Amino acid sequence: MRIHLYGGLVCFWYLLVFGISSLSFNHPGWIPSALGQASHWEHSVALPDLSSEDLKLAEAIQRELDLIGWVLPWTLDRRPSGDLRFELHRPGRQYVITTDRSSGRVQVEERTAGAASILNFLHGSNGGVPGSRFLHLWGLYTEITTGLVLLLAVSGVVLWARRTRNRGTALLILGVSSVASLALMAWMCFVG
Amino acid sequence: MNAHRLIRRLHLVSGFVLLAFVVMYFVTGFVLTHGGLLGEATEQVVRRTEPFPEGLSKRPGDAAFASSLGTTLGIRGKPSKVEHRKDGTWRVSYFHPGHLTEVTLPSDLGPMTVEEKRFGWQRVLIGLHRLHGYGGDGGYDVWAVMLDLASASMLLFAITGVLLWYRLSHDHRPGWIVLAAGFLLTASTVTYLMLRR
Repeated sequence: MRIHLYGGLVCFWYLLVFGISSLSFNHPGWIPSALGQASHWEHSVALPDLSSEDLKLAEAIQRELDLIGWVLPWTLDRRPSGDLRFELHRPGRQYVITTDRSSGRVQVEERTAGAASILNFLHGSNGGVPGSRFLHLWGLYTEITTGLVLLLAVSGVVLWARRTRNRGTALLILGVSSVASLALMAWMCFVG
Repeated sequence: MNAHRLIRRLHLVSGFVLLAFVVMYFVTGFVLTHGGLLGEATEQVVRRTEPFPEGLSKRPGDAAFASSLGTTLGIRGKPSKVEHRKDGTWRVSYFHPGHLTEVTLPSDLGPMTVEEKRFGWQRVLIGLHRLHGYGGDGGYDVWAVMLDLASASMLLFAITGVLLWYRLSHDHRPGWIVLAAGFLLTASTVTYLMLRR
């Protein structure tokens, strides 16, 4: 009983996030997902000489700017001048980054990415975000809650079976709903 | 019925009704985030060309076009919106777990390219996890209802679970510590993502 109660408390905040994010997937538009207005800023950086390795150069610039996120490889665009333009995305923000070797500066166009992108990350992330150690904690929390929820499902059924006197109705609900759910999943996979 | 019994019953019934669905989401979620541990995902691609079906609307932008095209060609799956691409062609995809079929129609609505992708079991499970939204035919709307119910049941589990803990425990301090730690992690993660440059 104590495991069930305290396990549930550990999962509480994740279950709230999971419930709200799942509802938002099913109802696009409930949670704002539009990009915000662009803000522009510049920063001086020592650009490494990586003339043929666009991805490595982009990641080096990301580290210099102390930004977290994923460099999108398909956005890497090397200009005839040797400058590089690329996009960097992370939950909550997106950046378009352009180098200017002649001035030794980097221009950044930054936009907020709406609450939906943060919620998507919270919904299911086990790998964190490149450049941030802190966000690995959420990944760890997600892992723990995933296992705990499965344990709680089993312990909930066991607790109920031990304590109840009238098992008939609940068993019927459990049996019918489980068979119906599994039939729907099978239909999706094999008939669709 | 007193409040405690009502909360217990809500916790129990919502759990039992949606147990299989909720377990499915957490199992398939594990496959989604740990795909690499479970072996390489397989994929088979089959391409074919089909003539534009006779009797079908010549306006791919129509709301019912994707559904009619799928039925005519015998393609299974939930149709996407028809996408009008920059090169003038139209594209519509049909998805069900483990299968993705994309139909590309030229601008003159001549012969169409049909590309069917069949995935291995990992992608079937991931497909179940990712299937969402209203607007498909038949079982897809039933699925969307089940997803809504499973999502709402998560919120109900969480809230009724805390209420049950509060009523059943004599010493609340350990529970408050666990809840506060979870809140701190959640709030600091959201704040970090919102405020960090």
